[in-house]
Amino acid sequence: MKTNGKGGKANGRRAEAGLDAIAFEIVKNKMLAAINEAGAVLVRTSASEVVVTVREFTQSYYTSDGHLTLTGGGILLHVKSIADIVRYLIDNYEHTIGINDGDMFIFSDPYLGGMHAPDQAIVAPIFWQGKRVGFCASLTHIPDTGAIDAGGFCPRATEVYQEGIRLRGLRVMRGGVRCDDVFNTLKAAVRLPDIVELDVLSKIASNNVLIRRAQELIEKYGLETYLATNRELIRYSERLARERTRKIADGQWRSVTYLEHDGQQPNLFRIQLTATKRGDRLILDYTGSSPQAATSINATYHAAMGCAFAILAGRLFYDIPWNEGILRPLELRLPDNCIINAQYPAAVSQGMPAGGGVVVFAVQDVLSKMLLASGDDLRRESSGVFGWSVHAPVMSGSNQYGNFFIWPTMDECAGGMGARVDRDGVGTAGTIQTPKVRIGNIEEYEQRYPMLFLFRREEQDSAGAGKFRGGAGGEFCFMLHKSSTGYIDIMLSGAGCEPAIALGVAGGLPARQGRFVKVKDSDAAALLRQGRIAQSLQELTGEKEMLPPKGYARIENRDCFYLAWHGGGGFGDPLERGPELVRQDIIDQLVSRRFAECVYGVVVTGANADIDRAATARAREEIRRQRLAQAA
Amino acid sequence: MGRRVLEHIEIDKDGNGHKVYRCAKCGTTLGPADKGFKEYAVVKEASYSHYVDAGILATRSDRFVLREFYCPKCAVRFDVESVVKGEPYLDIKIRDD
Amino acid sequence: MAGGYIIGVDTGGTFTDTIILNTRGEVHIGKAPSTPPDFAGGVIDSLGEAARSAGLPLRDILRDCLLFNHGSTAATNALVTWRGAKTGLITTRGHKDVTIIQRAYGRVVGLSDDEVRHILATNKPRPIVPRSLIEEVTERVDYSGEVLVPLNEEEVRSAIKRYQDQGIEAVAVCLLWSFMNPQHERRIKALLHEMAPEIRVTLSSELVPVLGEFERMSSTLANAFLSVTVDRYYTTLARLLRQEGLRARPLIVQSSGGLLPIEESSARAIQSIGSGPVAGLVGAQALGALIGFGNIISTDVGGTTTDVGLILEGKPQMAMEPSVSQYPLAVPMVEVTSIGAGGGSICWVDDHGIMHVGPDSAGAVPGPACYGKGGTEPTVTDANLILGYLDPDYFLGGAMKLDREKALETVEQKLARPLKISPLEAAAGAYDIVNGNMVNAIRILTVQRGHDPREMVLFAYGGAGPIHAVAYGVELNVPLIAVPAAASIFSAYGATRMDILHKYELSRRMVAPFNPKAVTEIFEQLESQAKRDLEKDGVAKSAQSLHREVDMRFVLQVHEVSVPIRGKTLVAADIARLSTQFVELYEKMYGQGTALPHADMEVVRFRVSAVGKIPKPPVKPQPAGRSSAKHAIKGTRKVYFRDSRRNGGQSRAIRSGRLIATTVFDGLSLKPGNRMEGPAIVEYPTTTVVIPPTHVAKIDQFMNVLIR
Repeated sequence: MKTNGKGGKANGRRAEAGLDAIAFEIVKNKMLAAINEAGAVLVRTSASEVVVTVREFTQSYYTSDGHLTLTGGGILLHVKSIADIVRYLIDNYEHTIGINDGDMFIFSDPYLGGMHAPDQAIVAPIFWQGKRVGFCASLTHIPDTGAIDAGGFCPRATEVYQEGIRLRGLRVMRGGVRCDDVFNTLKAAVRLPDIVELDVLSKIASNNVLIRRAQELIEKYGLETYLATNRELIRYSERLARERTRKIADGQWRSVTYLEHDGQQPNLFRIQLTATKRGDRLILDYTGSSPQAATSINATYHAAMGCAFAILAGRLFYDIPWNEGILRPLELRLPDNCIINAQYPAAVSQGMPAGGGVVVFAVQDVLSKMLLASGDDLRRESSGVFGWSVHAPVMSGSNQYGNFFIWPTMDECAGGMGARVDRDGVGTAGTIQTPKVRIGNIEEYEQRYPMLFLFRREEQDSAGAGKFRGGAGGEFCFMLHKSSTGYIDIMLSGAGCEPAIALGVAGGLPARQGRFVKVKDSDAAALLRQGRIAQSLQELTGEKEMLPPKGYARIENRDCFYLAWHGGGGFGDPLERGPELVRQDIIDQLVSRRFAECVYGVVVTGANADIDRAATARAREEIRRQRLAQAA
Repeated sequence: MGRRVLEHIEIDKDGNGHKVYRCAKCGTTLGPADKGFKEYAVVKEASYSHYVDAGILATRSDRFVLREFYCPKCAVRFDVESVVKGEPYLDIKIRDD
Repeated sequence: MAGGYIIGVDTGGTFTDTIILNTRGEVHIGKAPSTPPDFAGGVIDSLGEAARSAGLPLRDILRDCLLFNHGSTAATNALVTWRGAKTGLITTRGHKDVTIIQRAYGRVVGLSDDEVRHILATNKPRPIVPRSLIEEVTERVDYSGEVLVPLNEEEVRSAIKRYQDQGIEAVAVCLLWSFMNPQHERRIKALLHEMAPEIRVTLSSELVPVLGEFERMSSTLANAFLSVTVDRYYTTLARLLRQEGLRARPLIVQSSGGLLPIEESSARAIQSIGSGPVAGLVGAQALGALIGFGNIISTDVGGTTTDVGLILEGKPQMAMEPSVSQYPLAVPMVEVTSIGAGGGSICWVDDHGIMHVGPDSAGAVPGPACYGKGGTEPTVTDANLILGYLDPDYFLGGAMKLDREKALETVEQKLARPLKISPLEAAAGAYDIVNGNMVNAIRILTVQRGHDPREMVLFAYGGAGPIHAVAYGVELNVPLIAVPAAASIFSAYGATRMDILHKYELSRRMVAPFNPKAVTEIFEQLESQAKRDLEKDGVAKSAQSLHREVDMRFVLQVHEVSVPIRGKTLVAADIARLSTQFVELYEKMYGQGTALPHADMEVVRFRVSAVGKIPKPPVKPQPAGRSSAKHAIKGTRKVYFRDSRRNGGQSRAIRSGRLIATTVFDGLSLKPGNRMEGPAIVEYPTTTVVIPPTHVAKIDQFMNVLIR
């Protein structure tokens, strides 16, 4: 178990006079406990699958002038940008409408913070004896914004005005009393008023926890200790983050990642990242990336920054308190009018997952290489890129009870972990940006939506090969079942369907691309009546249409919908993988015999998959020969 | 032992004190370190479609390629790039002083 | 309660403890080495020891035994040592990866925040059944319970045949939607019984009929894995006890914090997980209530592990999402954290010259080097002997001689020499390291969750606990350390403070306005089962109590709030009150104005808890007497202490220490009110309390040692 304190102690970290080590530790941990508790409250009160299961929520504490002092739990993408929102609140409302005890303010403007209009934050001041002593905030992804498309991801949008209601700090609670005018306005603007209202209320409940716990801390340890801890937290994290950064090899790395399809056309966008590490500074420079698109795949500055924060927090600064101190070593260079720094009023609703999502891959790619070139303890933190298909098909329509539903399917969050330098990646593992991400039980899906899942499983051969392989990705297929209208609509918002994005490292291969497939007029239901459950696309008749990564599809009564999501990238040359490990993968049905032969050069025979040593040696030799021969 | 750049690439000094790339697997000297190591590797580039048959990739594409870099001596794979055809090599520059 | 005995037995990884209480409040205890993997022998040995101390034949005591309550490590041990059955899993076609995918969060189940954040170091738990042994069968039921595809029995039969060929001993059956319609699971069970009666079967619809296939399947699988081992143990134990004269039916401590009869425990193996530690925590709760403490850190240091639990405001903390070894379990569980640190933990030096303690243990056999039973690795007990904390001639009250020379020899050879320090320093280092491990485990439960140890008392029990308690208590800054009178057999004591507890659940979705008749019917159905079971358990009507609860939520929410229901036959007014009550509870939990009073509400689960109160032996305070403890002095010996430090300083640097002439007290001669200043050692036959020079101990009126 690593303790956060060790590095700092050696450095005589108590910069704040009068702040004793134990109080700092207790106050910090209590704040973290409050953040976890508030997260649990959100999960228990929200009606959104994205919050409850996928954990797209954030709680955090801020200083009274809007600096992030601590976050944890939920999703890491938004925490940095909420600090910008808090500062907007202070700058614009402190001397106008006022920020008073018991007030809470609601925001959902991607140009202020968050990633896109569905990211809704509620900010609350924390007061003590009539004086403002800090802020807290809770953010969740809400299921609808009243945009042109249900769910708020809008492939056809060309301006942000089409992407739903944008809130800039409406006072949703005034002196502890809910403001019905704001609630009613918001509810009138969205497709799922009750769920959205519950989600607003759940964030209020979450803020209530954060405020109450902060006040309890102040009562017990004194205001000075509380404030000093908050200030010290940022400095403490900064110090440790700089120390860690210094340990990375100095140098420059370049990565190019691609984003295919703009929602309307199969245009290609390029995100170029040049990472320069010098001393305790890290520069992420996106110069050379594509200009912004005419459609909604653009990311705002906040999305690009948030994605970088998430990866650095989860992969480099995992044992340092997460706050803006860990961003101080970082300099982000984003050209204007760029696909990941779009200018108002560009449409940005698909900026997450699309534009911003690609940043997640690019930063992982360069970071893994930087760590490989560093000392052994940092080398261990290198890995193949994590699979995460950034494609959340948003399904909507009428369910089996005749009620309207919107379901952003997030099973692709169970991507494969990238291969590690000494071990395989974990299969269907989750994401870096949401450390405790979950996908739903099939029973929960089938209870809520008019679907019957024919299968959901890890996909064979989906992981990137290598000396150590990535974790497997997955696939599912459903047919409509007891739909009250006979169809549902799907809005697709994916990336990585054409370019391989879960890249390997040090000679490891990338994982397969993700796919959306619609099977038109399938015989799935007829098969059920005959006592058979189709287990692959091949077993189904009907026209199989590979859907574009972004756009629209309608699934009707006899259709099936298939989704495959990414495994993790591999590490090292697959020819260095032990044949026994390959054999075990074959037994575990993770790798097909054909793949084993072609990629690993391992030949097995018989039902027990016994290794044919001689044939394996020959196959490997032949692969080596081809590698050098082809170039000649 | 040289300075690791990637798992199987390191920068080391040759007999004359000049910095060179070496294959960390077989020890072969690849060439002076004033250029990118990829210049000295055996390069194999093929469109995605080529990789679909073995099951490595799932979707064909002719504008994308995988570019593989091998040690010319022992054939170990140093690196794989996934890029659009014509993209310059993705370089790594390590400061080793 | 008329004349007769109440017996508590707790089987730990190293020792099996017995407490025998009679109606006059007299106490006899016994301790014997545990006998893994078949723990039953150790139980009989331990009972024999207690009977000997009572001066009565065991047969007489067992014959007159009213209650036999047992906490056992059998289930935990089988899981941790992976000695479960060779297990198969039958599930719905298309869904065999449920326990492989683990909803992606299997990777972080039960981990601390610090562990979760280090994403690259996380792993999913080893699958209980590898993919190649999971059998899919064609069948499909939908969300409403309607059969869409009938069960393909041919496939079931060939799956069973393959399982027989592979030597499968236990099978878990978990089909989608089986809690709505269990007919396919039942049919598979029938086919298994018909074709392979030797295979033990667990059905998800019987064990945990709740929505959510992953958590249901994970529980079913863990149960199947443990079923054979646990059943074998309980069957053997019941037979041996009967042979020895026991007439009462043994009750087994459950993870829920209650007791269940032994036969029922056999079928629900996962509920015996953590059984012993839970008993200890219930003991701590009872003792805390008696002496006036509601916030308690309880630490049980045994031979193999240290178990840590929390009592907050008088209640043991239940796990929010119960799990063991990263397997989620959909059953109620009192939260207890175990770490591999105990008296038998092996001390070792790694390649970099760093000393570690545990997690490997020498167990009871061969045991520490000083046992002289062939142990060749230095353990914490060996270190404690060298440091003078243990008396070689008074271990287990002198029943077992410890070999100090052997201890010195192994510590010298395996620790001191590689580290180039003296054996005494090496032993002191081992003592510090194991205490540090305990501090870390306690901090995760307390400081990391925002509970301030400075406001809690530390209960230290288990044979080795009181040797270490003050040392780790100081690190945590607790104001008071209590060593219970029954410290060395405290979990056994806890087992005698429990009641029978059954829980019955049914997942059924009902949207408001609820039909009072339908609600009543469901409860009556659950309660008739409850009453039958309590009757079967032999609980008198007057001792029975039933508690109704529904889990409610706003329509479309995923999580629920449990709302208690009073009254038997429900009428419209009760039902209306239910909705108001839900909103009240909801706002109490989440804050004023957070509920949606106009929104639809639904009930998703009905629950009945059936409690069978069982008699508890009386505990009588004794008047406090003189503070002088002179009469109890046995002598003095040289004992090692670190130089004084009271306030849990931050420095990790090794402080100097020295051997100090220390007074040794005979614990059994101490009287309430006696006061002892450190440095002091208090020796009981089965445990030793170490009081450093910085601390003072007092005997309270229940004979507990309170150290400040």
